[in-house]
Amino acid sequence: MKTLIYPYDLQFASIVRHKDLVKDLEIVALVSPRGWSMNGKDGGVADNADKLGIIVSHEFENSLNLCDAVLFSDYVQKLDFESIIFPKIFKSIELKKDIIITNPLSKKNLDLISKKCDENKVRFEYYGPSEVDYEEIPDEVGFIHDINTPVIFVVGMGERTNKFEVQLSLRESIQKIGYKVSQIGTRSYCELLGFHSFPSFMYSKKISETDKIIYFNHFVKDIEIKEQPDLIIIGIPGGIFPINNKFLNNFGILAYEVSQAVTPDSTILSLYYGEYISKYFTSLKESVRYRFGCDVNCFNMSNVAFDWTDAKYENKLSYISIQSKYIDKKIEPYKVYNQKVFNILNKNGNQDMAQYIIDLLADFGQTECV
Amino acid sequence: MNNERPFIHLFYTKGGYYIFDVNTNAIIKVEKKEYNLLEDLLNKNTLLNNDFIYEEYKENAKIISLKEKGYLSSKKTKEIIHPISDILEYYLSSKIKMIILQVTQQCNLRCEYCAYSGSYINRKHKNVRMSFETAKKGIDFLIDNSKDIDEVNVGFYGGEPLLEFELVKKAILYAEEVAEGKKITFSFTTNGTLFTKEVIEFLMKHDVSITISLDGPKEVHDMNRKFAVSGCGTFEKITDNLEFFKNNYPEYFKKILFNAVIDYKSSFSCLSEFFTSYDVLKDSYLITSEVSDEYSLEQRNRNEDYDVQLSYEMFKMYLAKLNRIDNKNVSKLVTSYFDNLRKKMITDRLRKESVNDKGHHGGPCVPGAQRLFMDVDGNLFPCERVSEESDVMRIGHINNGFDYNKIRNLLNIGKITEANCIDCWAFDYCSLCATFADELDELSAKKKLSYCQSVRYSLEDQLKDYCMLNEFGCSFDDSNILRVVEV
Repeated sequence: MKTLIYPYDLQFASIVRHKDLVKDLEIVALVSPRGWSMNGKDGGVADNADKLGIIVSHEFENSLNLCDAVLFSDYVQKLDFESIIFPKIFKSIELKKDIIITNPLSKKNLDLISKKCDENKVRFEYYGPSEVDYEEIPDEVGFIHDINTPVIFVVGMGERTNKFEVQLSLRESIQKIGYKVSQIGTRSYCELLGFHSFPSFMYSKKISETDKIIYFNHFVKDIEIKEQPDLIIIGIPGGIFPINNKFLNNFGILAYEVSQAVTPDSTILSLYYGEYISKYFTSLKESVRYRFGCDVNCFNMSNVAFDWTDAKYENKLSYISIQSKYIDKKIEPYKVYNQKVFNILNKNGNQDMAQYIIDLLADFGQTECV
Repeated sequence: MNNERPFIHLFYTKGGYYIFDVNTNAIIKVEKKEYNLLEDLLNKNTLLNNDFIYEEYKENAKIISLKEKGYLSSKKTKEIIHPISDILEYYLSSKIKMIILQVTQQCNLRCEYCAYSGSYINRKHKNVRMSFETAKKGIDFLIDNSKDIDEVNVGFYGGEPLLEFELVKKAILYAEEVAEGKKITFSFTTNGTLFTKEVIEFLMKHDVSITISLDGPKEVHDMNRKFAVSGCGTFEKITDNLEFFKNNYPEYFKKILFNAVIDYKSSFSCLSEFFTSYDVLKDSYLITSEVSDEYSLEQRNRNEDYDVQLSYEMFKMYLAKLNRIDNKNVSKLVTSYFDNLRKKMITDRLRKESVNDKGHHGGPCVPGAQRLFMDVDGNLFPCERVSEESDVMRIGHINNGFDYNKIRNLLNIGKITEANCIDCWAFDYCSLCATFADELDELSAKKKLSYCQSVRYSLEDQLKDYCMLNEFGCSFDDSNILRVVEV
């Protein structure tokens, strides 16, 4: 199904970059608002990485004739849903385009769009977070299973550290080598890409934290039993530590809960771009070990820097986007620190990271514990 | 042995002796004995006794305890380089927050202290205006280079920008069109003499933030701010306009920011009285700025009476903060000082383990990213406050983009005074940017160093004020505490 993505920005760039993973959709058009300054440029401009081969347009209505479906994606920039996106959804429905929405919707808007799609007989798929039906876990079943398949965690120092790119690249590369991968991704629409979304119950305010940990463990065990994978990749949303007293990254609570539910064999930590001294890497590894009980085996250096000055003065999270090619040059010196630091946005970096993880797991596999 | 000297600054107040520990940003209260010991150790004139003092320093129990806690390190930055320097091109292609368009170089006023009056090394007022094509290019440049910014701002500047109201209108409508999907705001600095119903209603419709220059009561304001043609003062015209504005658009009027340029020749109490009691401005925001010394052709002397009155008002403000007098007795002209002090000493004074090996002193912003200024001809400058005559400050042209080498030099202005800066205890708190070194065709270390003393004095004053207020029990803590009520 020929699909147009709107409003396209870096949030969806990873998916377009790995579009072979999206089985049922053929991404044919990328449209973003004029003020996002991507008009006429290759879609790779969104995440400052290699070209994607699709030019971004700001002409939404004119682009509708290229597609059968419109995917209204989630986005990192601020955009008023009611005044800018809503009219475009309705216009698309009127023109009989199928509708896919990954952006979280209020119950009211979800009902409104569903009704409009029904009336116009167009297909509607919604991938936003869902409500959860929950039962408190009785004491007698409050236990966690051992997970016997090797598990990899993909975690980050915060938002926008290319975690999703790491997850998709690993999936693609490891599957290519011939392994069977089960995966839980950081987003709510990973089913579009053929794997499991991070479960909504982990965000629930009704479920106790202890129950979340148990449920997550059972969720992974269920996947292990049903899918019989060689490897399980778990992407953990958000950051693992507060950035400082102002930017709390939810205190890394999700990462803590997942790490209590499942013990990984390997962890990939994605960093903001920076020039780090050797001690930084060793301190991070120690902190992760003590806080989450797992070892960081390698790092991904993202092509996004945290803008400390702006964040301080503007009192909000602030980032600086950097060309991915520049990162290649900057990670070279880390070799002398004896740290594995990759640039996932570089094709070689992506393959090297996958191979490194496979070798590592193979090495662990030499020791068979039964 | 010199390397072993702790990197600290010592100061005292009526109530205590203090160390400002540069490496950790900590302010530590100490006994007089340790203070004197440290003072001797730092004092270069006591070189002859250094061995003896150093032995005492090494053996003093309190000093040992401080060192064990990570204080009194002698570590200094090794190389001055701004952290953004390496990624400057990326920064400026994604983080431009604002462009200020100089829509005209003409003004209907001739203010004595104006940067374009002839008293400064800068251009003079001229009947030259910006074309709409140039304005459009400037707006496009802002949108194209602000990918990492949610909200951008287009500012209008002159001369008097309302002389080119039609151009301003077209520029605002164009910017709103091309910024679709990004929040765009507008701002405007005006002398307030040219407001009409049409102007106000347009600005209100587009929620333009207005800053109006008003220096004080008639005798103060008219002393400097005069009409170009008649030479008469502008006070009456402005106050008539303000009354019309407030009566007809009261909600929008509340958003106006007033800027008072303080001339030391005036009486502080007279200014203070005006801004506290003038009914039209009663609920308005007021900022004050001093007549600028940068690029000035004449040396301005401070007025002692003014300083005495200012100090007295500051004293009253402190008493109010200590709940000794009612806040209503405090002059509006000094209320911002406490907030600035709190921000500097509490919010911005982040504790750290030590200074970094590489870094840059405080002061410079990323030139072009915060307040990119474009003159009528499309020349780009870091902000509107620099001299348009300065070659070093001309950081590009709208047709050719930025000159990154020039920008990198401005950003790394500390490089020209590297040795001094590395040794300076006010490194993190420095407020000097390249403007303070601008000799139009080069950046001068000598000129920059001439400001260092006043930066350090000012910081020491703030450290003392902060500590003194603490000694008297002033709470700097944020009162915004969340509490769960148990029922």
